[in-house]
Amino acid sequence: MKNIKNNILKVLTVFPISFWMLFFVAIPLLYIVFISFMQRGDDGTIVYISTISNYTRMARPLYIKVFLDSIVVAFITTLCTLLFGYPFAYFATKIKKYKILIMLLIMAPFLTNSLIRTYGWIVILSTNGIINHALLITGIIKEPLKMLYSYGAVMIGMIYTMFPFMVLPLYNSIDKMDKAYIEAAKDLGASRWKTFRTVTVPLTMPGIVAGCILVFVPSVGLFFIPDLMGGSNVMLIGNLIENQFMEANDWPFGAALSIVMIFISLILILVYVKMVGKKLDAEVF
Amino acid sequence: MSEIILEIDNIIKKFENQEVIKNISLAINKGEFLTLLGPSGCGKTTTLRIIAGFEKPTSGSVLLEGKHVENKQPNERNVNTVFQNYALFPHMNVFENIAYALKIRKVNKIEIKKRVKEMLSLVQLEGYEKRKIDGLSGGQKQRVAIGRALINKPKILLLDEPLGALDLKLRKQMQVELKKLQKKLQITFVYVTHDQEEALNMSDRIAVMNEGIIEQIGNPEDIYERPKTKFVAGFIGESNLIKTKIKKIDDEKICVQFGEHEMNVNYKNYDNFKTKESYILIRPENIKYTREKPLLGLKAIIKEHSYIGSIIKTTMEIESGQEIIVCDYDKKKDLVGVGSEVWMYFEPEDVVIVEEG
Amino acid sequence: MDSKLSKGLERTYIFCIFAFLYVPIAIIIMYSFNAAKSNVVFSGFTLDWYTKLFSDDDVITALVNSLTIATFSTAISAVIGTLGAIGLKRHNFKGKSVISLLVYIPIVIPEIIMGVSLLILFSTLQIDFGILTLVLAHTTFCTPFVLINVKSRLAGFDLSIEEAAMDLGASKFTVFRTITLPMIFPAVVSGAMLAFALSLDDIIINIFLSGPESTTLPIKIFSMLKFGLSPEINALCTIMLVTTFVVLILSQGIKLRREK
Repeated sequence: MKNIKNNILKVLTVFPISFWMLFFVAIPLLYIVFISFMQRGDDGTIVYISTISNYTRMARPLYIKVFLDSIVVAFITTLCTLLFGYPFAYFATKIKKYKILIMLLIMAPFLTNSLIRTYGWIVILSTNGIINHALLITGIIKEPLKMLYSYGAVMIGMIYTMFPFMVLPLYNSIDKMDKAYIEAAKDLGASRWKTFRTVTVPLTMPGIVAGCILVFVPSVGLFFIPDLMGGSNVMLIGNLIENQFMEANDWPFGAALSIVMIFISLILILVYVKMVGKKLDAEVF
Repeated sequence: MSEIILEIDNIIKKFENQEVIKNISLAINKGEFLTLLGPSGCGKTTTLRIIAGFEKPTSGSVLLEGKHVENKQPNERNVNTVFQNYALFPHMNVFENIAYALKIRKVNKIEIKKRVKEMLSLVQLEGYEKRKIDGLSGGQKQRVAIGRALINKPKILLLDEPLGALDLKLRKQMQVELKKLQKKLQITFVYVTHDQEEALNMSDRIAVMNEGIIEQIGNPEDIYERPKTKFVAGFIGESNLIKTKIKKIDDEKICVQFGEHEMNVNYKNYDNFKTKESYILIRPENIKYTREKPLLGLKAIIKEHSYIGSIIKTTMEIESGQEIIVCDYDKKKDLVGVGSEVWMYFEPEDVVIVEEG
Repeated sequence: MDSKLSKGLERTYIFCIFAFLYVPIAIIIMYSFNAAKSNVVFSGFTLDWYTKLFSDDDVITALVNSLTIATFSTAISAVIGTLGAIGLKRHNFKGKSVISLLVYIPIVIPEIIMGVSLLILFSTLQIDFGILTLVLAHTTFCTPFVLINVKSRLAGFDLSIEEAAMDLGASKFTVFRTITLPMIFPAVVSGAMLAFALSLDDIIINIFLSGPESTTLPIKIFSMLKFGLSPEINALCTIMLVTTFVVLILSQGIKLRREK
């Protein structure tokens, strides 16, 4: 009798999540793998004949360029957010007084619609935007600068959007670090820079790696920023995939592209797990 | 002859093939204050949890008023627990904590209010109804935990090292209060502690446990004056255990080796004295020392005198290399210098012969 | 004094970064009150764009859709996520490590993959794209957030409190109802609010899974951005920003109050 009651509770708590994750996450992902080996029919439907042509197609220089561009963009985004974000997080943890307010201000962009925030940049950078307007009026330039629709604009948009994703885990990690270690290093004679390099950085490595993952992985797939700020001048994997599913109707190829994207993300996550051996949630939450 | 309220019968408990309780049998009388005493890991808390119902014994039975309960859930026994870290419900105030047991039994509101009020005055926390748990001191939390467990008038109250987190003075005070409470309510208390002074102070009977078995059960005087095994002798109070050989046993006396001589000790009615490894047990307060050789004594060299406040504790080394501890309440005596040779001696009637166990 | 100077530099740096983060947002808010159509010249304060917004049927529909989807997704993920957190933390079962891993996937893979995979799933099952598909999709990526939040609260949970309740006579269900649930409730709520904000703001999944009748607010903004800038956008964006900010403050407030 006790066993039945125990089991009801177990089933009640375990079944919903298991079912949901299996049906809406695992199965669709497996299905993408399956479809990536199928062919596209003439009218845009899927023809169930297996082929590896979708993958071989990606070997063309056109697509290789897209992959490389995406990885480079994601990499530069990660690097910039890290370089700008680490000092920011570090100095922010030193402010004891308004800690709650600081946390709130850091988290707010994290949750605000990234579309809206991108729009703000469009307003600033466009040919009849604020910067151009100011420069024209003061006579510094004669013609408006074309700042949008370039890789540069896309980079700014990406760094801007991804910045909070880097800062949050960094902040948590640096905040959790026991400052006694820094004091010990100084006590033993290390300079400020040496202390930073040999104590602070290694001890906050989990946060650094978490931040890099949280920035790099979505960066590879973000397509609306290149879409809005790069237009047709910038084509990254995300745009390519969206294109296959929404316009070109080549689902198998889109599926294959998605698999490649998943692989790139998975390799990085494995790197993280190897490097730190912890779970992500400890750093973000 | 008092009634037996709880019987533990040949309980064995294994955790993943490790025997935590090797075999325990115990009969607890109604209204008594019984303490399970032992070092950490001896199985006393596990025994308590088996009585409460949080663990099921691997084999053996638990009989509450003659009925088997070892398979019953904790909420099906009329036994309540005071937890080591109090386990008070943080999202409820004092009133709600104490009222909990009544609330889930759907007792009516007026009755609840009345009984909680009584309980609060019993544990001396009148007026604390609306207080939040995290604002209370350790001692106050302790009382709320006790009140919460007693409100249901359980047949047995189980207490798992309840005073461990309190400072010394508060602990001593609570020991007195708990004892008074128990006497007043006449509820059976089963108490777990590793503090032998606490056990001696509060209990009607003590069950001394070690590595999963009960080494000895008895009232405090029995346990202290007549320990049966080396473990019990060493665990309770301070003791000096000098290895010895038993020469002769008869109905009234045991004759044992003492240095170069023999000593006759009153045979204090041990049952099943199996003459394994034996020791002379002599408590520090019963040893005296002098410069002149007494009739029966051992040579020793003074190593150290310590001032402990109420007593002087002297450590000395006998020929075998063993250190002997002597306690003296007479602080005004002139102390023999460290390094001097003395003779230690004691009355044979203060000696207990103790087995390995 | 060196430390005073460095402190000053630190504060300046932080201020600059915050400026970088918030200037675009501030500009949008500012121009939502701009009397002129331009996004550059500020000609006067007006609430016109807000009133225009509220009479724009498309926008209202999109808003209602977004709120509906967010509400349902949040509710479902709160239930599944909370139960799941308890199940994963307290019970062992075959395939537990697989499910634990799967829970992290929606957070960790690019959203576009989720969008694509569900797109394929729903069209294979021949489910019409609309509010239903969006709710299902949003629930999928919101549940892990609730689950992880509740799970980390459970990690610090003192089990002896539940034992005490059982000891006092409560059945396992009663313990759950009167003790466990109230104690984890703040984590559930803050997780749910996070889920709500994420659902309202989602774009990528919406692009893949919405139908003609079920435009959501972010999609509306997206199309407004692509096909022509109207100052109404500023007003719309401002409203969304304020809403998210309020939800955020509430959720952090609850979290902090509990941790006290």
